Amino acid sequence: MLTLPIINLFSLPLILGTMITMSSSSWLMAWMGLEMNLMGFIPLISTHSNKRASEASLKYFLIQTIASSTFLFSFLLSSSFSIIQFTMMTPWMIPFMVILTLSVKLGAAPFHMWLPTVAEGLSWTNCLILMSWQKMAPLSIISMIFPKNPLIIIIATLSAISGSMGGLNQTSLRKILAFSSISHMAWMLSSMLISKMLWLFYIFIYSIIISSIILCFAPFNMLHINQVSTNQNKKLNSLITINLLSLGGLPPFLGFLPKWLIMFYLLQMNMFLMVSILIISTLINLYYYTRISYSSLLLINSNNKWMKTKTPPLTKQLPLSMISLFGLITSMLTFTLL
Amino acid sequence: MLLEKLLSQSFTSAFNLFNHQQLIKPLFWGCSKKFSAPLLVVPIRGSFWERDIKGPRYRKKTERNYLDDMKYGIKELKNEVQLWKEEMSEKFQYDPKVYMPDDSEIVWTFDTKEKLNQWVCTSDSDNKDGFSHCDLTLSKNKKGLFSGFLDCRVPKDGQIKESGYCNIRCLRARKSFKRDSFFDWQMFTHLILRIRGDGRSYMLNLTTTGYFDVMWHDIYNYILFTRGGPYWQVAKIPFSKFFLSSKGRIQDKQDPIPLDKITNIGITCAGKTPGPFQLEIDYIGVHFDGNHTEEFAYEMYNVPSFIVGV
Repeated sequence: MLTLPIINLFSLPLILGTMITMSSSSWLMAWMGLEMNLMGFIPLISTHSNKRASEASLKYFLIQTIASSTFLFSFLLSSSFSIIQFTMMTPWMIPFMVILTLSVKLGAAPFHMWLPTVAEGLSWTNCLILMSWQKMAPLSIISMIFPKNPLIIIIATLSAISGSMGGLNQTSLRKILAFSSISHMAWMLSSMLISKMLWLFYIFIYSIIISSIILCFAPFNMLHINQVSTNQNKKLNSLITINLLSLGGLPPFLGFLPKWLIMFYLLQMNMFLMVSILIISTLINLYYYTRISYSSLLLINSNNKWMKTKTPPLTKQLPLSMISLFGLITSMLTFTLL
Repeated sequence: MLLEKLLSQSFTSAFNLFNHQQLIKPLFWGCSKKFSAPLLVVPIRGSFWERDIKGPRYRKKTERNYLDDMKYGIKELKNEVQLWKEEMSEKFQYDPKVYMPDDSEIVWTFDTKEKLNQWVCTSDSDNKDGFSHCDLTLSKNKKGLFSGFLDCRVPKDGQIKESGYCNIRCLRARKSFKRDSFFDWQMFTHLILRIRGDGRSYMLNLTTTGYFDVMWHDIYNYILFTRGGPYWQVAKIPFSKFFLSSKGRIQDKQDPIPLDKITNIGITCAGKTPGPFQLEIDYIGVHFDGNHTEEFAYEMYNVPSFIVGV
């Protein structure tokens, strides 16, 4: 059972592991941070008294350990063990292997098939950690070493296409968000072609939006499109719609800001094809986001008079959703004033 | 004399621990009442690991002729390619069905013989566990008729304690090229059956065969109560009422049924009342009730974390 002592105990390696990886200067410490993060996350996802969650946690563990061990073997071949860098003398195979193993850990295409099945088995909170916090450590390693590697462009393109196409045929909410996180991974990887810190800005905004979406779904135990479409709470439906449109990168919501920056700088670098693929995939993502919420807002649903359920106040959901709604305008105003 | 007997018994039991023919009872099955209390069928394995889903007692060794297999495969290829094309066209339409409240979908009807071939009828006499017999035929009204004779006599082979079961089960959901698939009923809340029974209670089994071997025999059960009258009844059973069992044993740690991982559906007739039985089935389907808010009907006690297995 997931009790507070267990959460307190294992949150520490979960957070510290990522921080060790992000602040490390040597390969071994970076790998150690990844392992610590894994060791902290596994008890959080496998203490649930649910055989589906235990199956998902086992699959997650197997995939992450295979990726970690291959990552360890690949960086051991590099010449500079104590400093994270590759020189001109490094054979091309070693950075290739390192990027591939980190893509497995991230759930980037073509190694993304585990992410929807694992996400579907987890609870909403663990899903949130999987899609936001667990991405930070591998992305930080990729950003430190490979700012401009052609393999990153290939992985970003494949992630954009598979994330958008894969989510079209889904009706389970967690699987939809998993495919959307694969798509957003494409944006984060392509932001590394521009600068080393832009991906951090993107993942920060993405974490805010995905937290507000999960805060709308989790308390009402919504796991399926049907449950959103038959929901009678109009305020909640509006918040879900706002957050999903923000996730899709539609102005005037907050989610547009990081995408705008990445598009702007990629176009300055004349990477027109990359930008087109990213925009088209985002458009497809937007289609299946709106499919979640349009039926609850636009179609007429019957409301039983005899079934009076008290709708709880949306005190937790409102602040983050307001950030999604007004974040772009306030940030633009602050930038212009400064 | 007694010491020699005890020593020889302990020696043989230690030796037979690794011999899978030896009965391993209370340690692994948790029944500590009597050391010599056998189960329905004696378990003949010394570990939890299972090689294959059927188990050693019911595994049949068949000699395969590879040439015949290849000829059969080539014949099937055309049908499988056609199935694959249909799957791909449906996949790339990107329009999954979303059901509204009070929608139903009829999954199985029983009006033709081809549809009856999608179901497998077994009884204890097929497994040499008893003398019952059953059959799934087409009735006069062109509905499925699951009928037979339930015989509770126990075969005298020294291993079986209780007997008498008959079962029909649908074939596993399949994709093209004989790949295993699942029935995805996440959008629905109830199982509906239009049946005409004989007053007996039958057991509904929703098999959710998992990937790992401990989950191979996970079945969610609920009782189908029938009226004996000439009138048809529509049994509408919520999925939240189904309880988890594995190999016939109700599990202590209960879970709501994973509706996207259902592999088979079955109906069992068993019990201690021998005699003929008859169940006429019109259709089996699924229903979405928008007012049904129950997630799971069975509570789990909140136990301290040092209690293992719950």
